[in-house]
Amino acid sequence: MAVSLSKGGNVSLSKEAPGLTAIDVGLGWDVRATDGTDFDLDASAFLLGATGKVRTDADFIFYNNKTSSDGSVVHQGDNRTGAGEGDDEVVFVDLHKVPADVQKVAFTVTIHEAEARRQNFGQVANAYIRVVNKADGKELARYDLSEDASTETAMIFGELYRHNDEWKFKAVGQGFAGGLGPLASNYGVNIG
Amino acid sequence: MSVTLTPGANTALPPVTDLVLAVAWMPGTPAGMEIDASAFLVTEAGKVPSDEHFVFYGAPRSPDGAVSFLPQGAEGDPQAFDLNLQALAPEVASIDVCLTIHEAQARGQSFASLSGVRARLLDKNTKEEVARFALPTAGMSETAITLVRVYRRAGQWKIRAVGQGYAGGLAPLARQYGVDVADEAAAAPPPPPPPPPPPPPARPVSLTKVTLEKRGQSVSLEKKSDAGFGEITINLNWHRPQGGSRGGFLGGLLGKNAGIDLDLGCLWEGADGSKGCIQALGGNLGDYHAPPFIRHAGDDRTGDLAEGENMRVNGNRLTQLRRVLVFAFIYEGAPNWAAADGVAVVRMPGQPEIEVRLDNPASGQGMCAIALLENDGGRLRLTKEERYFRDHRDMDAHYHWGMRWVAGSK
Repeated sequence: MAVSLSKGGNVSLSKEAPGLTAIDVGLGWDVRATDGTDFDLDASAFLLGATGKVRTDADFIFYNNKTSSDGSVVHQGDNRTGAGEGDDEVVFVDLHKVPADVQKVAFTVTIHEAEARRQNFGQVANAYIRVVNKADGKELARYDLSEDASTETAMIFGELYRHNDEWKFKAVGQGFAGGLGPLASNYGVNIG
Repeated sequence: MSVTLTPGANTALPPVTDLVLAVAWMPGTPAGMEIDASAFLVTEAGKVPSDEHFVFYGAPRSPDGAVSFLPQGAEGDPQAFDLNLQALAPEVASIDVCLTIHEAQARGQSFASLSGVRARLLDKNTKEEVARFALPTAGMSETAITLVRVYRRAGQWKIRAVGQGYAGGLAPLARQYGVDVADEAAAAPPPPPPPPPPPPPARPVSLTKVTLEKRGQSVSLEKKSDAGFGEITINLNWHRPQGGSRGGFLGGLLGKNAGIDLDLGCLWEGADGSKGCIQALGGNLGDYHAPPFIRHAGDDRTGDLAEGENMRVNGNRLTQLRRVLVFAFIYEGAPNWAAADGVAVVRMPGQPEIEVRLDNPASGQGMCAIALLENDGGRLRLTKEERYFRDHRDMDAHYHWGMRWVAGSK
């Protein structure tokens, strides 16, 4: 039975699934049924050191850099059609391969060209993030953001982090002004 | 203390259950413009439990009496609804308040022609305003919208500013909520399109969805937003013979019970005169974000995939395209369209689906031109073709595309 988190809540993945070695972090949302400019949402992941910043720019995993240098975090690519059941985007994390100096992996979703298109997360239905055990496909944790999202155009959905010898997952649901560029800069990525 | 909402924003309501939801727009709207407010009482799934949960001037009261249409308006606003949240049936999770412009398409109107569109939620007893939402209507090609949504979430009533809808009027809006208003749709046809050059021969086609036939074989669409027409998707699906039931017939026809392999593709011509062919055969899958702004999702060799083959045309880049001819052809197996039972569906945001059933009995013609998309001076003209040809070369010659053809294989 997956743990349903609300904003700010956390769960120990290591306790939920003893012996956990790898996870899929699934992010989803419903595409609009109405007319108007299409929504283009992008998921990204940031490998963060103890300071809460990336160690190098290569720790920013997104559509143009799908695999971390150590291979521990792999963005599975865009579900461009948005059709069908299931996650819209998936980020794979091999917990054993995550370097020891990475304390936290943050998972974010940004709306592409949100300002120009006058779009925000309040107009995206059923946004969620979930953590699935790679070994057996079981959902370990889920966080439905919809009611926590409003006029934000970039959001930190959740964080995977080390706590003592455990891996934990936290439902963040925090908005960030300005889109993917400023969000990445905030995590210490040098945006050209 | 009233909360002012922007599109997408929501706020929790104070513990008041008797409310008035009033809607207004700038007085002195363009002459002849009629605006109707309606409310859909929907479940968690976003659908009405019954047609009676669609409240409007013709059916002014919901079955539980919780929502009433006030034709005279309220508090100075021209139209309004009385909401008694306590009386609302538990299955109703949301009251979606909508505005539609009557016969907008026929009259060439949309919300862009309106200003001062707003909703106000008031405490019915104190007349105090609880929340308000002013919709920015500039550039909106929608003619039917969900303005605001009053909904329950975790035991709490909230209001959300939505401001989204459809260019196609009440019919697609109502369909979203699970209400069938087919007659309304028929009463508001789009402007008559220019007739296409040669009318295609009459073929048996499925009329279950929309049909271009009623509109003179062609529709011409205005750009819906500054960005363009959105994503135009073309799906081709077909039937693969199962070993049992039709195996004998097909076994003889195709040998070894081989499946028919239908391929979807298109010829395209760019605004700069460049041209090409996109199809899985030969691996020319195109690109959605760069020229030719058309992308094929890949090959379905068997017909096993439930969704068949798909192609997407980037309608937002229509200016860079002159015309696109969508076609299907039988790659493997005898050119027996009846056995393949192929169906092509063209979908555009806000437009009814266009379905072409590939069931021409003519033999020896393995190629079918399905539909032609043309950039007609900024308008998108979509013409149903359904013409059969022997091969790519024949089809090319008919449409004067001017490509050079060589045989290929997978």
